[in-house]
Amino acid sequence: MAAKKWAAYFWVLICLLCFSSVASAKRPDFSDRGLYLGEAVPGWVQRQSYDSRESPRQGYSSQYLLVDSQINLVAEEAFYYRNVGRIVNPSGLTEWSEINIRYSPEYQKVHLHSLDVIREGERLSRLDKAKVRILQQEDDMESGLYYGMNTAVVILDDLRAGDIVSYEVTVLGSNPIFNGHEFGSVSLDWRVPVEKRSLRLVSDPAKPLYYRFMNSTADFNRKETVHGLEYDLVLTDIDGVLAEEDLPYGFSPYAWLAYSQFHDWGHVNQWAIDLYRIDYDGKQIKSVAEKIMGRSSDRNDFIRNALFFVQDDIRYLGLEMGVNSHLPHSPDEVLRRRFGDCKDKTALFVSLLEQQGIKAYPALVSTANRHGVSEDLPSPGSFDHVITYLEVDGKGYWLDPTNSYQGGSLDSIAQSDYGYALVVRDGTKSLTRMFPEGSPADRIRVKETFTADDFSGEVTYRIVTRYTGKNADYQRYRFSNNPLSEISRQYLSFYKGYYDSVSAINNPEFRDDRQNNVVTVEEEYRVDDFWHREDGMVIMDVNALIYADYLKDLASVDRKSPYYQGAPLLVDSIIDFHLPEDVSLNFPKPTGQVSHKAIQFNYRDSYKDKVYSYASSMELIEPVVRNADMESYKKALNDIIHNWNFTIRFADPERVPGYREALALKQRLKELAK
Amino acid sequence: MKKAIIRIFLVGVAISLIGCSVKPASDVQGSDEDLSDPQESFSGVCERASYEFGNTESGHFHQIFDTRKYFDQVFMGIKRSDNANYIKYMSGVMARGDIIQNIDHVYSDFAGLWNVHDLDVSEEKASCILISDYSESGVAIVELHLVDRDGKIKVTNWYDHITESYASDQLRQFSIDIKTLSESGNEISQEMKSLQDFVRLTGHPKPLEVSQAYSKLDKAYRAKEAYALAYVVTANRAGGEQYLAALDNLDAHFSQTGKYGLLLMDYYVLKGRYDDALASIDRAEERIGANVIFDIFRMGVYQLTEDNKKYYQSAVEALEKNIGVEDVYWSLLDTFVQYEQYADAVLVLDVIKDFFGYQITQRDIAGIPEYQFFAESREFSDWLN
Repeated sequence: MAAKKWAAYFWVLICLLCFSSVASAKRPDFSDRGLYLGEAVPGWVQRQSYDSRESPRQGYSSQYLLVDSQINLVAEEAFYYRNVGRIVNPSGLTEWSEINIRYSPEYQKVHLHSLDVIREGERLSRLDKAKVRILQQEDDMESGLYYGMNTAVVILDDLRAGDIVSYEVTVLGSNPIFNGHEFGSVSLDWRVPVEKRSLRLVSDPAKPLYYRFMNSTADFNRKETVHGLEYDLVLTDIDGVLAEEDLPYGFSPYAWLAYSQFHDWGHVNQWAIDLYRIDYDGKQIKSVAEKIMGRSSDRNDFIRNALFFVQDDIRYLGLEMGVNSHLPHSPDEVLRRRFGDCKDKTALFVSLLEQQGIKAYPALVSTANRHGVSEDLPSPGSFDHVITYLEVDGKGYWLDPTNSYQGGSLDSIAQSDYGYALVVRDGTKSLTRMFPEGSPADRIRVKETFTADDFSGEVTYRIVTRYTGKNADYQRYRFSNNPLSEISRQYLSFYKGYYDSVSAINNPEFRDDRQNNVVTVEEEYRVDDFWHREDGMVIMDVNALIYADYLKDLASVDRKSPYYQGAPLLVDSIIDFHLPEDVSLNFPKPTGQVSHKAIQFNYRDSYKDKVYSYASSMELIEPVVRNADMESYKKALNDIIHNWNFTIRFADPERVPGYREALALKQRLKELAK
Repeated sequence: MKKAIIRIFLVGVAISLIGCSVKPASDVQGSDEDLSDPQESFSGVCERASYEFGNTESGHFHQIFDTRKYFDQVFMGIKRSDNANYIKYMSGVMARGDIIQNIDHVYSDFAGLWNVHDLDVSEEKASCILISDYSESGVAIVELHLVDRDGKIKVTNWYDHITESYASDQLRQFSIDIKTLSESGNEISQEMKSLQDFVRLTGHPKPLEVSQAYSKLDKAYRAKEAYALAYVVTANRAGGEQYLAALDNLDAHFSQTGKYGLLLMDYYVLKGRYDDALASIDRAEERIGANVIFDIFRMGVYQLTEDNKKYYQSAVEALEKNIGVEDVYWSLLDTFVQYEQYADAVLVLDVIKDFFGYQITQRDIAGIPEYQFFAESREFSDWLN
């Protein structure tokens, strides 16, 4: 489902921070492509001033003097915006040399009203000289999504440091799929500072408009004018915002305004029900459903097989033009052409289940915002994906026909937790928490075995990793879509980060128990330079490398935002070192536990019959670490990291007098103890 | 030659925190500069504490000790008193400065290598068990309680697994009793005097006086575990007979629940109550976790009960955990000599000589009455040559 309504203003506003045009003898005509140059600014627009005397801020190559957005929701939706910026230094020239205006030619027109360069106080219109190209760029083509969007690219030349660039655009029209109900969001701050940000909404007094300022204490002035009910605000001296890494889903450090003409989630549900009320000729669907049932042992097995059919046999491809951004194609058509996007696949899956009397429903979710959807103003724009919800014997399942390479029975198929979903069915009034008891945790078990013939030569390093849940799905996908040689190269590259002299003995071996959704990967390496020596001691590194993928050292990070550490996960790790002869080990990690509300780590080591064994387990409990818990979390991580990555020292049997005698005596004692 | 007979007394008892400083102030004036690392982890602080306990010259443990929190625990629920006598009696017997200095040296009898045996971190709190090297003084097992306060990790208290009590317990009991006495108008009573005398002795134990001071305590005080434990700790420093009397008292009145097993283990051995001793070891191991020290304890008991298979099995268990524990070899030498297993005895001598570097002569061995026959044996003679 393509939630990219034309008024995905975030995009426009972020892209506006780059720009401009070039010479041509005659003003070009792009009206057949929906782009009009030089049209007058609409009468309802109130042009905003800016202060060019503002001093540029240190460290920025350009200065954003004005970002003005005005949205008219009264008749045909119109989004006017004006951006004014000063080029401070040569880096700013690059930044402002190109303007991108993205629109859907299916239902939108674009007016580029003005394009000016103000140089030493003199305003020079560049509209007539604009070098304009209209591109059909598909940003998500690699993901199999085609939106049919146009991008008008306007190139400016002869820009100089000190120039001020100003341009005004109005985008007219909205996607008819929303039946005239408008919604959108508008940014209030950005990565760069802005001297003045003005915002104005004009709405029909007869049509309620809901709005919410997010991460901001700003509010509108409201008044009724000849244009309608007007909401406006002006913000000045806005600082730039730096977004940290690893932000949780649904968390944004930026401020924005959300508005919507949908009054609640029930209203959104009503809109969505109509989309999924599809007439189709059930003949083909019935035939396929019967075939699937024929090879299924029972109802649950049928659900699983129908899901895998839609996942594996229907290619993922989304043609999202116009109303098909949200309207699914008929299941017949999807079945015939054997491709579809998430909503097409869901509609087909639901119809297949229907053939066996199993009631299932589309469920709208946000893969980007997840739990954050619950804070949204209700609108279709909250969602970017659709999955399927069904209940069997009173138990709910969230199944995703868009997924691929899944395994397991109905009860063990990995279900993603997107936080909240809007289950599209009669009576839905609110969002549904997908997993109120907490997300299902995946499990990884890894057994690493080092075997050595002596304390100086090579060591054989064998790793057996067992994946379940989404991790099994991922490994199944990975091994199905990448040459073994490439996977082998990637694995080896990872181990080289820890063992300089590691080399592969065999390619990784992949075993798939798809029925139980368990994937096992076996690897075997040789480490030539495993042992180190210092002061008569042998030193060996103990690295439970499985944790390297999941734990970041945040000790030196002064973090302001909450932290996303990853989905709930259980990891069990055992590392066995089969030593060539008996040694004396002082247990460096006898037993221990690090507990935090977000993470738990346990470890224990032992030594018996020449095998040193280090067993540990980690549970990622809460995906998100809140700011208030950050310091204690960093400490816990520090303690954990010290316990999956350490060295063991023991006396070198070759160099310690009496050492072998002690070992011989121990052997004698074992005989005496019998 | 270092020693040939394994000790009977196996566990060690730390000095008391009650009473005056065990070291003059001049000895404990370490730098007051805060040496804590702002990025230090709980495990790092535990490592540091183990170093401070093992290094008796360091005297910097107080830098990671949260004195304020410690005294909060001592005085928790005890309302401040404006009774001048209470303050006078308290400060006279247990000045804070002395206590803090004592903290730096409370395990001074256990110099050597301490190991972090266990770490348990939970949010802003953690605990870790430290075990001292097995030495002449026995062994100390201490569970530190740590807290992360504003990014700094501090030790707030510790639990001594030998005495099965918190460091703050005795001070707390004493302050409660002094307060009760001073507020009841009995501050000049015999009761108060005997209490003060006893507490002063815990700082400077004098042979022959410890039992006497304890017996002079009012019956109500002697019924409290804190004073019975203080008696054991103090008597341990005063001497053998005094120590036995204190253990008699502890066993008679406070051991019914299975508590104080480690503390009483020596006592059980002396009394021939070997099953009680083994049960105490098992309970302690279950509580604390497997450690070589428990194998050594078992060796000591099995040696006395002449259960040789179990004795050897315990020795194997000990050496599997740490092949470098010297006491195991001395014990084995005793046993092999005792049972005239001279071929095995010389295997032990190989290790003692080569692994630990002891020079062993004919005179060393012949000088020990129990080793006379071994000294004259062919095996020993061959070994010497």
